[in-house]
Amino acid sequence: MTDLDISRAWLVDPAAGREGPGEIVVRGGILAAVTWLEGVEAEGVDDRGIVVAPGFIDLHTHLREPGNEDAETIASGLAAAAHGGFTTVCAMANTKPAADEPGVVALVTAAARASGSAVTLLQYGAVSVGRNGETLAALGELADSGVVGFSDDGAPVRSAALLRSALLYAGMAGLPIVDHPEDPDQTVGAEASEGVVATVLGLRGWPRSAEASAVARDLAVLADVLEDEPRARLHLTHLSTSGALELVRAAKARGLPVTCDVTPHHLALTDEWLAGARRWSWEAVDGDGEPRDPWADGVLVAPPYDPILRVNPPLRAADDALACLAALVDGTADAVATDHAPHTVVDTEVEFGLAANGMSGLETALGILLAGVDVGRLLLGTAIAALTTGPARVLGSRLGRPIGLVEGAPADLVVFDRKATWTVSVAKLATRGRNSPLLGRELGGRVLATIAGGRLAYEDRG
Amino acid sequence: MDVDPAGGPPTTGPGTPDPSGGDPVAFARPPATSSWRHRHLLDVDVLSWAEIELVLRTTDAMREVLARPIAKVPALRGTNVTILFYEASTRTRVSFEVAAKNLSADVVNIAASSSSVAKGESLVDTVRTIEALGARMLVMRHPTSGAPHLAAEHFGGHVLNGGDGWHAHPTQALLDLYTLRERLGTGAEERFLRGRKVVILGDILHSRVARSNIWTLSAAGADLWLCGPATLLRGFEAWARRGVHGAADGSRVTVTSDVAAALRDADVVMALRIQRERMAGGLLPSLREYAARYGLTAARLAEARPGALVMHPGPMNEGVEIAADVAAGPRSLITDQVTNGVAVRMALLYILAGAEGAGR
Repeated sequence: MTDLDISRAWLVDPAAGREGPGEIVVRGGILAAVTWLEGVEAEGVDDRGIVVAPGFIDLHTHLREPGNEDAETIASGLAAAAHGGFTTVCAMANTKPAADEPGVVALVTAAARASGSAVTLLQYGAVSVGRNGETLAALGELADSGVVGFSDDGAPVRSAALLRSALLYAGMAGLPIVDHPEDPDQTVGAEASEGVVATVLGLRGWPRSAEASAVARDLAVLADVLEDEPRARLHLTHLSTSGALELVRAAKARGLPVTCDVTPHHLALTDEWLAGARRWSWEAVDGDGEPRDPWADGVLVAPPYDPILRVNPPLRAADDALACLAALVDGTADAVATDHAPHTVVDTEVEFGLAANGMSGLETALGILLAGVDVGRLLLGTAIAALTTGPARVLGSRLGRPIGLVEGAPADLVVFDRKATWTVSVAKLATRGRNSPLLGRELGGRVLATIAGGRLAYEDRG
Repeated sequence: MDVDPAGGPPTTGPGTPDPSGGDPVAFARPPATSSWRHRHLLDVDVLSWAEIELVLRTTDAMREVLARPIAKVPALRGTNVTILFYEASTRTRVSFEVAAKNLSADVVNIAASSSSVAKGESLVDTVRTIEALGARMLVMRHPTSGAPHLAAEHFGGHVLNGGDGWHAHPTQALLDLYTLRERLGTGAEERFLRGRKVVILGDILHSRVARSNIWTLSAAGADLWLCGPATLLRGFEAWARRGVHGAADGSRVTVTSDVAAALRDADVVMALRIQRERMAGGLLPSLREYAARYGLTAARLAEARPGALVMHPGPMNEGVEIAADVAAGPRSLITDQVTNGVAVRMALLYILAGAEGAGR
């Protein structure tokens, strides 16, 4: 069990609604003391850049085991999580076989234990058998086996009728349905967000309305089932458009039990990366919010059609990315989830339109958010809350631990230097999925240590 | 011939093709032209006007070669040109083959359907294999946009894009531009289509020909109109608003579904093929309705300027997007396009063969 003394750090505790200079002491894996500094003692602490926060929780991780261990194993995925500052990850059910019955959940749980990682793996069950969108999976048995929710992610819950049943069944267990909102009829063959970039590059468009219409469907079904099952809950994952977020905003105002997350890449990257630009979303608009021209001299600095950038939902234009940021700031988006989707080279060194969807994200999420903090688009506290209390709220009691810098509890925290940079490289990444569009890029927020459940999960060795 | 790197007009110099002469020695080997900056031809959007002008001038020289009793020069003797097509094609594939053979290249033809691609070999592996087999120039067509860019990353020679997905068909756009310059240009002037109304009519959305032509025709100064049903124009209004190739490039592009407005006083009408699968995709009610509303008929063409020119990249659905009498009529440049296609591709193979060490 870990011992740790960190004096003169910047503590962030979203659960307590507090951040500021302080000290922490960990003894035998227990967070023995949290001291908030004031006055002279506190002077200059922020400048050092050392931040201590509760361990991050990822609501949306693809671990690929069982079935596609070339892309990721549970062990390599948990190592990547620890490197990224995550102490808990929620694994999606789209493994092979899908996690549609308790045996698969038991297998994954056993593999996580065998990995020796301190990081907690929580598992989603599939909504439908084989994620086929037709037959309801054994949601009750899956709930008994410890899953934290149900999702057919990789695909939406195919029909409104199936979603209705799923919300009712999951509601009985007090668990959320986590939907990937997409109207597949509108996205057949889609390669990129419909818009100027897709038009110029000749890529098949994924219309923004395909997300909003799916969200509208889901919200309508949710509102309808609440009368029969008031415990029904819906979580919408990786929202990427202003229209969808606006619907969630209105639904929350009406009191519907809906939550949602956004991904780091939809916050900070834009579709113009497909054309070869490499600037953050906030750099792609001018002061008036008007888009800047990616075809202007010097902006397109990389070869176009990098298959690593293929992701579902696709990278959007800057106005949608900024709408995601705004939703995070005003609380419409409850959490940031990575949608960590490791793939092998075989799946990504191919024609753009044939590439597997998804990018590796656990280890770069913090750096991306801190880039947003550095330019004033996010407060540090908001970013940390989106990785801690936000996802904890979605998971409810199934998280199984308190969140926050709580004295006397097993230490579950991340220590990072927000001013120290690291260059994303294959050698630095713990994931097997080297499909990160940020390879070669310098990010801030170097994680120094991740302590999960009182045990050291990751330590920076320089 | 050489082109001033600063973008000035071409001048004639030693060791390069002489557009006016018939000296076969001039084509003994490709020249290294300082004005050509690309190792590959993946798209037209990266070409400066000076580079486009180099292509047009070199095409003039190749036209002269084609007029000889034996239309063959030794420029690419000993050079392996491999033609790799992942899609069926007649005119583009044969045009490249004829062009390469006219330059005395050794030509290898690979149809993906009868190669290891059919066994699941990846594009990257296929390209590496082709290079290991000695190919120095790779002409490829692929149904996926951007595929030639991937090939170029892994091929040590020169990649020529023979059409990729919906994205680009650079040789078609350059042969179309050359064909128009023959009729409408007066010489070497840069924006020879200034003041000319050029209409691209049909399935703009799925057309790589349209995308490449949008760039070259607007670069040549055309008053460009894109016309078709709204379902086949999605995304182009936003592109036109932004400026075809970056903001404030001075191009003028109008996107409309009003065929009468588009054709009124047009100088050039380029019809595009309509594919039956667009109906299955819900983008068109029927070919009959398309033909009735957008088909290029003699009556519609009467709205255009007297003597307006008609183009089509082929293959044509006569009676659908273009009436047979219009396609075969006196204003049609369609056979000129095919013939010029060989000359343009000869010019591009010739220029690229001399482009050792240049960038993308």
